[in-house]
Amino acid sequence: MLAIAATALALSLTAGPAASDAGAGLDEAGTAAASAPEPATDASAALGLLSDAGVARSPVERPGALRQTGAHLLFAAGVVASSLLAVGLVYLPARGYFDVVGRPEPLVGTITFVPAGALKIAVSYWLLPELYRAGGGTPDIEATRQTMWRWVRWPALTAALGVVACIVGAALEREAFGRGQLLMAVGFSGVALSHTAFDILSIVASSYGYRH
Amino acid sequence: MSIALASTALVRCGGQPVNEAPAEFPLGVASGDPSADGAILWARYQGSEALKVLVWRATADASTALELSADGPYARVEVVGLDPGTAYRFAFVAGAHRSPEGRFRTAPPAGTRPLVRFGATSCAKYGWPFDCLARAAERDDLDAFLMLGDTVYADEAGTLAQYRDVWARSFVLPAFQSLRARTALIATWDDHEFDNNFGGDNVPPERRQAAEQAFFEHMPGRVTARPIWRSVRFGDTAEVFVLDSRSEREEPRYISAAQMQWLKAALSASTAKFKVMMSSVPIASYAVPFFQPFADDRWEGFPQSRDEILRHIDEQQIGGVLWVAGDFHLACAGRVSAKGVGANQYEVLVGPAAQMPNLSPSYPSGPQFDWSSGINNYTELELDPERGTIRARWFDGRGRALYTRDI
Repeated sequence: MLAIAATALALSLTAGPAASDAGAGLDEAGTAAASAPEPATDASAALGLLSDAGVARSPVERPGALRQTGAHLLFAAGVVASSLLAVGLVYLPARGYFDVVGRPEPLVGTITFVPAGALKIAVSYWLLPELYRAGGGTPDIEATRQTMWRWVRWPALTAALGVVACIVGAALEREAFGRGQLLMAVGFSGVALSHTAFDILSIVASSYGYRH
Repeated sequence: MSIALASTALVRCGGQPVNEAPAEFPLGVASGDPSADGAILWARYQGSEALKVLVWRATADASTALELSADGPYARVEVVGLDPGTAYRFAFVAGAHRSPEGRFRTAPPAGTRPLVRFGATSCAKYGWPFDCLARAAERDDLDAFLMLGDTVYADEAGTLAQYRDVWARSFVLPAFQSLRARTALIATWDDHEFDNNFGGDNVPPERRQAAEQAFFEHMPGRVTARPIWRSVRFGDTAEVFVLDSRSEREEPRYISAAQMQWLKAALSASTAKFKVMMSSVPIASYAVPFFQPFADDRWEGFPQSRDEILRHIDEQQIGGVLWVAGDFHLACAGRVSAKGVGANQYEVLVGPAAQMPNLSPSYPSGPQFDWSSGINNYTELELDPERGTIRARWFDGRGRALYTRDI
């Protein structure tokens, strides 16, 4: 999961216009019929992570304002749920360790950021945009997804850096009390801020992508 | 102040059949600050009949009891003339009503060095399980139980009536009643008996006075007004120095000049093998990012006072000093300083008895600290003058030993 997310992140951050063309035809199933699908030419295309620039789109049927609002709210609820899931994935192992041993283990409390972050990114990228289908019509899910991803990839990157800082700090902390705390604090702050930014931007960007 | 100090005259009493009456004694009984020949006996009394207290040897029956008169809704009686190092039972009686039975052990006599065993804890918040206190109350081998403060959380109280309610709601619970009845207490206060982060002048005088009165009404110590710093002697084995780490702060002093002067002189003069320093707030250095934001609330935030007492102990080569503190919501064992002044002194943190664990993502560990835990606990301190060691053991609410450390 982490490898997929990291690959996705790396490829997306480096993707240019030429690569974007290669992604043509990899729209959602509901829209692919309107364009002639071409075989994916590289891994990034296969992952469907490229910019939507140049993607041929089918006509989009717009639902009513009420249903659009409902779709937005559903997406926002999905963001909140995925965040709670990620927080739970971090908290529960750390809490379980604490309950057994009686003290926190910095490495347990930081390494769990990795699967939690990977799951959060995966759910946000692949699953949450699909919620816009609940609004009815024929929304361009792929455009929504790509717009969101262009916005949230930076906080995803800073969160990943924060996780690395946390883990390195935790490893230092195990050697001597206090040695890794500054790095852990910086990492925690980075993860928290990035996570918040990720959620806000994902809601704003997906809404923008959905409406345009 | 409605505390009544009863006559200390001892009168023989034949003892008579009476019924236990929880309504008249809703908070049970307690004892505190034991000496070699007595202790302070306490009861909350809600009745109109004349009150007296009976005291008898634990190995005898109540028909041999001594009788002392008592008075007041917060009855406090000093019993004297008892035999040293001896377990006693006591009960308050009003007409046909009798309180639950309490017990205490008088301190060993001067000139002797028997093994002495204390229980200790801190931070007992109403609403959390009090199973650690219940476990501690099962012990009948403790010479005294050290309460390191935050015995109640009265942050929301403002008037005397409200403070009394806060004390009563905790002390009416079976675990607290059992512990207070089982072993003599030696208590100090921390901030939550007043308000969160109480530091002397940051609570209005009227509120502070109400908080102090409620403390003195409910805790069976020898002091009924400030200052509360004092020492309690257990033969030549131990002297317990009870500090006031909260109410005498005045920049740049953490404790008043008078308290500091008394403490230094008493430490230097003490002939006890072990000097147990009851400070509600830790004196150890926690100069790390996760603990630094709260340094202003502990000794570390007042380096002049901290250095003064630690340096005095170092330079006077006063041996057998053990610092005991609470407040942090974690149990801990470690050296007071990583290096420099205090590096050869040791501190144990006791409790929390009933609280949320400290949320720091990293707890104290090597090289300065030997162990720490956030599990609710009480501590046993076994002071063995023959071996010259103090064995500290922490127990959780199931009675499981969490850690043992010979100091």
